[in-house]
Amino acid sequence: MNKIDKIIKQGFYAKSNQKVDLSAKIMKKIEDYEYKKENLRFKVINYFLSFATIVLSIISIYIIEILLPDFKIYLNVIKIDYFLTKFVFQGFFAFFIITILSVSLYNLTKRIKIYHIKIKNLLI
Amino acid sequence: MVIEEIADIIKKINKGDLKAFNEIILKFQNQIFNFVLKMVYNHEDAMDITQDVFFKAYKNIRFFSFRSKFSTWLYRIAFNHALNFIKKNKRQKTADDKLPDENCFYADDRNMNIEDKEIYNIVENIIGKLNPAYRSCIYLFYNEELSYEEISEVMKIPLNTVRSHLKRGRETIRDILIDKYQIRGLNE
Repeated sequence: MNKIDKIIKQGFYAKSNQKVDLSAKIMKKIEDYEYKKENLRFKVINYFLSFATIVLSIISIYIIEILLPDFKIYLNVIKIDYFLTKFVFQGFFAFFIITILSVSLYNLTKRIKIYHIKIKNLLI
Repeated sequence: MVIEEIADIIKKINKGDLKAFNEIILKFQNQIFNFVLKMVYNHEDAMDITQDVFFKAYKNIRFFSFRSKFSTWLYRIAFNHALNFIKKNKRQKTADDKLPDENCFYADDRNMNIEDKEIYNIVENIIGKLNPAYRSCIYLFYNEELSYEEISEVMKIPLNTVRSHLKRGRETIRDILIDKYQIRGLNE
């Protein structure tokens, strides 16, 4: 090693020795990321279930039609438009189920998260 | 940190144990921070970039293939990140801008005489003026004592380019020390 190498090496050694402690900040960032990732997973499940509920409610109106073949006739008798009635029923039905499902799912996900963290802490 | 330890930590992370990653942070944060600081020459930016580097490493740790040393892999992320930052911000500080905040330099100068201190300050200023690629090469070679092969892997450049970067960087420092500062005996 010649003199210039020694100067560079010693110069660097003297000037590149800073100590930092970023672990808390980095870990916080990672925990936030994991939390968001988990949240997103639950959101996707939630949206999927809501979508499934809508589809089910649409199907259910046809099931009503099958179960009550005279449904159309009754409506005709009291002079109410069949399709409008179907649409209103369907809307109420879907709204009702979605609301119940969303609230219960929201509570469920919160509980799952709490238990998940508790179990994780127990295992570590 | 040996490869078995890293493999063990990766296993733990995959199982959801976030705390395992803390061991990696504690082990490598100073090395990565000082390397990034030498590239961006700004204390705050270096802190932010170091955080991003570890965050990125966490997200991609399951793809670490054990073909290289773990530190080399981390340096590579840090190098790319710092280089992108420099390109994006175009506010890389050089010695001409009066080298940045005092925090940027930590001189353990208890055992140094005034002449040495002066030379080291001059060397630091010259290195600050070099282009980031040369600077990274010099830093990794002299300070972190990485081999040519490892530097080539970190910077994704051919081995001969590493050699030429180091040679040119060294010559530039020597020439400036001789011409501008009249320091003799550097060819010994």
